Amino acid sequence: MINRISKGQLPAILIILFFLLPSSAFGALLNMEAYTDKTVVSMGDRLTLTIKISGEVSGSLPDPTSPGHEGFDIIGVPYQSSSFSWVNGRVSSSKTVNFTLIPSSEGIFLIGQSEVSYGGETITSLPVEVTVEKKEETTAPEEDKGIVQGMSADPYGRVIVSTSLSKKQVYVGEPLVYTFSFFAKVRLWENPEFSPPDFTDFWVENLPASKTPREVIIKGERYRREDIKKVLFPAREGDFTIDSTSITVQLDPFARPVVLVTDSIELEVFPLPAEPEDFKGAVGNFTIEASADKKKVKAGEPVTVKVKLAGVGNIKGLHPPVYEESELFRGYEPKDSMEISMLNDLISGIKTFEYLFIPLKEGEVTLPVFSLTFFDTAEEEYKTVKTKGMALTVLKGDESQAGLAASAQISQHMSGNGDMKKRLRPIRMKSSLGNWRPASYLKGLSLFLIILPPVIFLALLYSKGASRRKHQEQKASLGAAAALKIAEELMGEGKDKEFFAKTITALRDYLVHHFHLVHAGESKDELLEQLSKTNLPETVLQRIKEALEMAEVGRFAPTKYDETEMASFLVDVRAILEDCEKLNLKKGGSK
Amino acid sequence: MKSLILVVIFLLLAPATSMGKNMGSSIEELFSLSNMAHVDGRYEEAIRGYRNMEKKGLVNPDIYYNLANSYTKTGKVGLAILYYEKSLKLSPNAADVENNLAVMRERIAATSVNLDARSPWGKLFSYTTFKGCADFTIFVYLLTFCTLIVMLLKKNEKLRSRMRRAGVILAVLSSLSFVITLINLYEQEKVSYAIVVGEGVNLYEAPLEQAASSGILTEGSKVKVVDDSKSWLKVSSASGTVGWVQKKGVGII
Repeated sequence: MINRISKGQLPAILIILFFLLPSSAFGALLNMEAYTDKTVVSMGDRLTLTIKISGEVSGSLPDPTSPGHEGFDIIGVPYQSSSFSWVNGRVSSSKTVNFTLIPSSEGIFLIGQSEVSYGGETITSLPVEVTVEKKEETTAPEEDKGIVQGMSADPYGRVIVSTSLSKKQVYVGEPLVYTFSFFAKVRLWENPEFSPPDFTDFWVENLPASKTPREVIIKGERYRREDIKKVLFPAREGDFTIDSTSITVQLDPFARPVVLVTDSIELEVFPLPAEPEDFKGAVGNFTIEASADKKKVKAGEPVTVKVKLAGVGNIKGLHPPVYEESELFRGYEPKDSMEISMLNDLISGIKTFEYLFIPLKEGEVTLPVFSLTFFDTAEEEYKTVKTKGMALTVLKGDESQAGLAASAQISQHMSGNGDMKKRLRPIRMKSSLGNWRPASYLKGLSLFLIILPPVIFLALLYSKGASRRKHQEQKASLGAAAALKIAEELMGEGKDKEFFAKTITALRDYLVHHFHLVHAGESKDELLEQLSKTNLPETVLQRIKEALEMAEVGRFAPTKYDETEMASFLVDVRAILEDCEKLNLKKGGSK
Repeated sequence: MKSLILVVIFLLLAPATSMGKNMGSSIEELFSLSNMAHVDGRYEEAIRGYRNMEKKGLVNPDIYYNLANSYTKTGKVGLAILYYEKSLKLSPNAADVENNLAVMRERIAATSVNLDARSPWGKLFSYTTFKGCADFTIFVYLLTFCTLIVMLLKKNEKLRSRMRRAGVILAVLSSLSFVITLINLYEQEKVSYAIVVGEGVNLYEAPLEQAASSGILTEGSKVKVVDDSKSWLKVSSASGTVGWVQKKGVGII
């Protein structure tokens, strides 16, 4: 038998024997154990049960049977790993199978008993005692100081959502922050889909989401927290309900997505107390300050006054501060700029209005005082803040220079803002009433005009070609007639060789021009080949061939032809020409 | 042959020109009547007249401008701004339109955020209009063929040679002009804007009436159209907020 095994097969057999022998020999050295990551769990908590089989064996280890899991449900597919080591000639293998369990009822349970059969023996693992406690109500993280409502969690507490409003009672126009918080203690399969509630009756400002999630501890467990914040400005008074919010979370690719829905939140919006005359909707707490770019100017030269409104509240909605108009200045509408920031759920910022004034009279004057009336929500009353009067020295102005400077600056000022004093320009009484629609160029008169020129051009080109051909044909007929007349004279003189040469040249030239034979060549055969491509009847073609052959003989044969023979030949040639004229043939026509 | 061609041209041109004249006269009459109604203060009547012209498929900056003025007088700020913008799109840099548009924007205190993000090509051709380019192209195109036709008709070889050269130059010019016209058309059509014509139009987070509102768009504000879905438009506001609005609440420029 050994002789039949080739040299190459021997090492393979030895390796197989090496692996087979120990497994049968060391079957009794196999161990099996079961353990859990926790011995006390709450309802909804996950538990990992590990079954480990190990021993000084080589080769693959068998799979354990499904472990006992009374009081628990197995979720997902078990995770399995194997290892093999060979140290100092001793072989050892191990196999670990992890099961994820979730408690299905409260109590004390023995789980993890599993069996494995190997080498004719059955090994059983010892069970593990696990206590399942009642789940305590999840509470909001301590750091959320807002009014948290509508909290919702999945049955196992893996993800939690909550919504909150920074205030539950506000005035019209008073900003409040709506926060949607998402807590997750497990890794998500994909980013959740957030469906915000309907914010009708509110002006909404979206705040940028935090770039990195915060870590928070809830009930001793670590969660990642992400917030979505929106600043709401109630547009009218009344009792409002911020509708429930939902979020769809995909925890693992094989399970159904978890949809968490929060409860709705009630909100009370109070009307503002009786509004003072100069109140223009500013709600919050603001300060005002003004500065001028010059302290001394010539009459007619512009002065720029910057009025800064800073504070907490609806910065965007702030109207320009008012000032008392004076005969000393001509004022222009301001242009504005804004910087908004968010700190501790408060909208704050600076809105700057840039006014342009032109002093009209010289002397020591005071620039206008600006004021802003707002409703202070903290003190629940209207307040008016004013700028300090700024002194300005107005010198006697150079009218033309001042006028130029003023107009340039006013133009610059207005280019960014627009002059309120501008009037609407009137309607246009005249119009070409042309259709400016792109498609209108491809229909009606436009299309006709587009198509017409090339049509005319092509028609003219064709007509020109036809006329040229006709002219060529006429020229051929006249040329042939003249040449034959000369041949007749030669015939009268008895010059037979010259007669045949002239006659055949006349015939040839006629045929070439009449049939537009461009590539006819010099030889008789080439000419006949070209003629055969026209729709010339075979009989005429045959007569031409005979005439050409006769002419050749007449020209080059030593015999002398008399006048009768030459006259007969001339009649034949003329008959051919007449027939060609009658046929009115064209080159390239079909036979 | 020449006379036959001329007769054919005449016969072909005659009905087209007379048809154009008939249609033109009714439009001119309507334009005149609408203008009179506006001048007399019958703004609703003027609006109906201008709108009728628009419904007939006429795209004209003068009609849009006058219609915008009539809307201004009736206090329909959003529609007024929409038609000023439409007029300005066809005829950029028109001083009266720019003036009235600025007045209307001031009236609603619209933010002057520039939504336009033209490509380098777009900037290059921002001073040209499709109409201007198209008219020029057609003119050069017709001139090219006229030159070539004259070249065919003339017998003087020297003159024919000159005409041939001129024809080639004009053909190159009309081809270039045609390319510019196409670029202009593409630049105009690839990005579209809309004006909010309703009062406080809701911006939704999804194209559904049940979807959450992510803000309110003020009448007359300009938005960039990002997407289109049945009766909804996805738009981006001047502040960068993206959401869906119902088509009935906005007018595409």
